[in-house]
Amino acid sequence: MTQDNKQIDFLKRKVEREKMARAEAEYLLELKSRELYVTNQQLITANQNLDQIVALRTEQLRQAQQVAETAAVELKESLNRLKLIIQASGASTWDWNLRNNSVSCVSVIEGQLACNIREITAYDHFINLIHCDDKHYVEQAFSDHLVSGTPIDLECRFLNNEGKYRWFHMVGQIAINPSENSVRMVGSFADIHERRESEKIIEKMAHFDALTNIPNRSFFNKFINETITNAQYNNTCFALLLIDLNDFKIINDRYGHQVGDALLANVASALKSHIKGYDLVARIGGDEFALVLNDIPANGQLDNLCLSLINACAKPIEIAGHQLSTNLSIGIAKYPKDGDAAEHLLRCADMAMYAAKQGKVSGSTFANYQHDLDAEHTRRRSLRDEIENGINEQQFHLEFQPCVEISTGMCRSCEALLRWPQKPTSVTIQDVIEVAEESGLILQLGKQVIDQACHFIAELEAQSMPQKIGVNLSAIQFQHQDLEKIISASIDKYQINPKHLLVEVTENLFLGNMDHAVAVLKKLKKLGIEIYIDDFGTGYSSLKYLQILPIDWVKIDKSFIKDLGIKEESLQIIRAVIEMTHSMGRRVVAEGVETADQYHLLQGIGCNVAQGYHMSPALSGTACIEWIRANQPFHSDNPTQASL
Amino acid sequence: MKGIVFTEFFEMVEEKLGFEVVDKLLEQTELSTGGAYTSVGTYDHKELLALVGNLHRLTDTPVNDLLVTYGHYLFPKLSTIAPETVSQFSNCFELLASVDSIIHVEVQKLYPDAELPKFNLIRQDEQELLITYTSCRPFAYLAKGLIMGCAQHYGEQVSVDIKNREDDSLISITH
Repeated sequence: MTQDNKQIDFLKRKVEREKMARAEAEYLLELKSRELYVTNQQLITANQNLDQIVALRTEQLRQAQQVAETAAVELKESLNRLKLIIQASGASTWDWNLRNNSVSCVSVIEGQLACNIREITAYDHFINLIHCDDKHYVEQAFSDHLVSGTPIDLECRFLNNEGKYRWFHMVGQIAINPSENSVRMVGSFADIHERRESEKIIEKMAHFDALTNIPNRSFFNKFINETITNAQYNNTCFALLLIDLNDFKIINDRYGHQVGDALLANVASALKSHIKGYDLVARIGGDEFALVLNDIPANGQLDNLCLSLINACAKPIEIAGHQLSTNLSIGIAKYPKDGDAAEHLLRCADMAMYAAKQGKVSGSTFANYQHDLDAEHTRRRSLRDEIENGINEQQFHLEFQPCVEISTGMCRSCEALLRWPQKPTSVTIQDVIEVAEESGLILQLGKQVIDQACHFIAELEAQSMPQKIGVNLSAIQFQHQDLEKIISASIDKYQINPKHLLVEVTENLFLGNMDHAVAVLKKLKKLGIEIYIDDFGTGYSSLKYLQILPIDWVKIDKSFIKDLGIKEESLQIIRAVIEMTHSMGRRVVAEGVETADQYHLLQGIGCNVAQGYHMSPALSGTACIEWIRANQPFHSDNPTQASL
Repeated sequence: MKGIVFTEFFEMVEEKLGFEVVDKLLEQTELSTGGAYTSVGTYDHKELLALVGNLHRLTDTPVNDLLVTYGHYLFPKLSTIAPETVSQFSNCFELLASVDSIIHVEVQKLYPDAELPKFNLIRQDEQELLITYTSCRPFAYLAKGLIMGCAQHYGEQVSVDIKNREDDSLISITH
């Protein structure tokens, strides 16, 4: 084979191989095309999915954007509101980065504190602005916050730019942001100094008496309980003194409230000057004061102190042109001897003060609590309840004791005397009247007495035996009742002649509001009622009263008549009283006439009327009528007649 | 191994040694395609090794030399496939330093299944370029030929030194 033929064969084979290669290439191309198609389809699908996803994400984004915009608006409004609130509250906010010690705050704070806020670069700088008494408390609050997360919320004093301490309310909290690696403390700061000052004033007003500038009852209650606790803990004693101004009401009524107030202030000042720094004087009532004296010996006596207090108040002082002084009644109770609770001690001191008053007619007085006072107090309380019950059940009635005109033997009048069949045996009518007056029950009882007396008068008038019937009136009734109205009502009710009624008052009536008492008596006189002054000589006897008061009769107390015929002086005294009374145009009744001798002696010295067992004891209404019928006129020398 | 390596190999053998050698090679070498390679196909590299081995027997030229010669021959053929890729480099070192990062990336786009060797730049300066050649096929000397073809393309004179290591070959190209 030639070279050319070989080459031709080679080329033929090469062509064949090229054809095969081409076929393979076409096959690969087809494969690739299919792959490409599939890829394209997948791409189209992916694109479509992507479009959907994009659309969805776009919508979500749009919604998120809307939400974010709304939130941003709300946040802005919130921030504005917060800003307004902070402005309105007067608070300032502060933000302290604890890592780099930078502080940012509302500029209001800067003007308030005693330094440039930017100078506070360390905790110590901040603490040094705080009042030394508050430092520990603030440091403890910070420490508690760091340990247990308790928010800082405290009030303390900061030094301001005028070098004075002012109260601020501070709140704060740690804020840790791990992503920013920051530790901050944020909070607010408000000047509350004015509020604190106002609170102090209110506190003082709540616990101090405005008039006397000493503690009031509220403070006293707190103080005494604390004193008991301390005394208990320290095993010490203290004394409680209750002090009452005896004549305060009279002074107040006579000279007016301004004078009364000035007197109270003076008394408070005098009492204050007698106590130690850790004792207390308080005004616990209108004219009532309490002293708490700490650290007294268990058996220590307070006589000297009481006398000192009494003397201090007895010194006259000038108030509104008047020279005034006051008498005190002091009751003393001691802890723990007399009681270990506040209420108990007060009661004991009160009983002691009352007992002191009872024991003295006038002037200052003091007494220590005795245990038997309790029994007496209980007894009186019990009696009071029985009296009230008796009044409600109409248990009280009257008996009548005839009063005989000595010159004629005729019954001039009868005194109505209170009787109570159901009264406890150990109790006298005098006790009953005392307790009734103390408790105010005398008002109801007195009304019943007036009513019953008028009823008896009506009975007598109906039997054509007109007689004057005398009723005793209490000073309490003058103070608290419209006596003219009550008496007039009874007169009208029974349609009696007012001249058949007479009233008896004691001298003590004129210790109170004399002007008022006189006015009432004048009204009664105008009705035709005669006025008797009873128990003359035993009370605050004053000849001036006889001159100026609308009194018709003077009743000489039986204590003077008792010695008539036995002691010559008695006769002289009585004679003098009779003459003096007659010289003033008044007439005289002698009470407690028990013998014919006394009767005749009285007759001899010109006494107008006699009352007593010699003529008759007190009688029931019926018996009294019978006596009058049988003893008109009364003959002193006829004992049979007298004993009816 | 892409078919272009086989087709160009036969072209080179035909061109340099004549058609008869090609014929003998085809006769003596067991080839899956019977010698019908398409440039876009993918074939077992062992067939090339077999061809080169048989060519060595036919020509008495060491295998490595044959591979270097072929690589030298192959470079310009490869560069005509994507002339714009080659033209972006202004010298041999620049191209060689970017084989992995630019050239092979473009190759991979066309032939995603191509298993291309990795060229890792170790050091480059004006005088020397030091790279590592890593491949699952033992064609470091083919790479050397390609490098020399590249240098010739840029009109440069280089010497190429290959140091075979356990996992790769260290190729030093110096001006």
